[in-house]
Amino acid sequence: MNKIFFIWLLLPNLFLPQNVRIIYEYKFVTDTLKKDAISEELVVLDIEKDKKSLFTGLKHIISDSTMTARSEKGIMSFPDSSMKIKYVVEKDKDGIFFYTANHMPNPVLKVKDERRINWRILPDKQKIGGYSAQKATTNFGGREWVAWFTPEIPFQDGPYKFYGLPGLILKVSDKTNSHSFEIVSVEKKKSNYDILNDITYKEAREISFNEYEKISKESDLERFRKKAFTGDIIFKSNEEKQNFLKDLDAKIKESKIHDNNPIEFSTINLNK
Amino acid sequence: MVSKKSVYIYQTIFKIFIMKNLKKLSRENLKGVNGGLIKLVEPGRWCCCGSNGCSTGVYGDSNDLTCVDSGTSLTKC
Repeated sequence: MNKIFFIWLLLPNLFLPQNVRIIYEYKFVTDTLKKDAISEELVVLDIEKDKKSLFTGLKHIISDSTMTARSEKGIMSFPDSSMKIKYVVEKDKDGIFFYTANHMPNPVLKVKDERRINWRILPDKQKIGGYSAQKATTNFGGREWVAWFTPEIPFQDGPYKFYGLPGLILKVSDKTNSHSFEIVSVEKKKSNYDILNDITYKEAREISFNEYEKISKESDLERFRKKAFTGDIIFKSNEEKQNFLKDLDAKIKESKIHDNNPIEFSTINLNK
Repeated sequence: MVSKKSVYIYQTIFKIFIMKNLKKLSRENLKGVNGGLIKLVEPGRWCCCGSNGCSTGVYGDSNDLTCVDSGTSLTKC
């Protein structure tokens, strides 16, 4: 009898594929002055069992794959301008790394995030997507988060940097509900669209979280502006340079007013 | 008195000079691609960047490259 029970316990693990793609719907508010303007984007968590997991936006994966395929044919193209989630989070045995946006004027930074997430598991339970889920709470990145995880899917992982619960995180949202991830599907990974496959990641510069916090006091746009004075941007005339600076200054000003609700308060908005 | 050998060497150098410049001129026409750069001083990888992001990169000299999409500028990437 004991042997049969032991085999039954192992069954879900035995039949779980090695590579799983989990899709979440990410709803977020970028401007606290316009709380009703909720942005939505599908995000992907690719798990390679016992190895690592990668997390980014679905549009980002498709955009990178399309650009790589076109580049191989000698066609130049630009990233999908509608995508908002451009960063990648990688979790493996060495820790958590996040990669800043690629195909930007600045090189990709690979930032090692050594902060631990300490969960408080509560007795509350509810059904999410047919799975029995249990509540847990934590403080991370200057926000209070509520997560719902299920031991029925035995991956101690979740969207963004969240991990470390005894089962997959099905839903996680912050107390203000301005950042929320909820599971849409779990499937065996069949797609050839891979994360971190783009050439831009091969030249990523690895830095510590403390170094990044110093660098990230400036936004990507502000660092792009600086390049106009270092010779890294080639202008055909002074008029072109002045127009470039004028346009960029307007965008920097707008971004400072409207992108005021980052997912983490301890860093600048990673969505930018 | 200039020897035949020296004349031959000068002619060869002159031919190489012409061939190199012809090659450089023809690259301008070859690089007319819809999405990004047209022409081919500074070698390296160059992209057309705007506030929304950068195009895929191209290796070449910045003097010979130009961005055709509005709102983008030739940027070292």
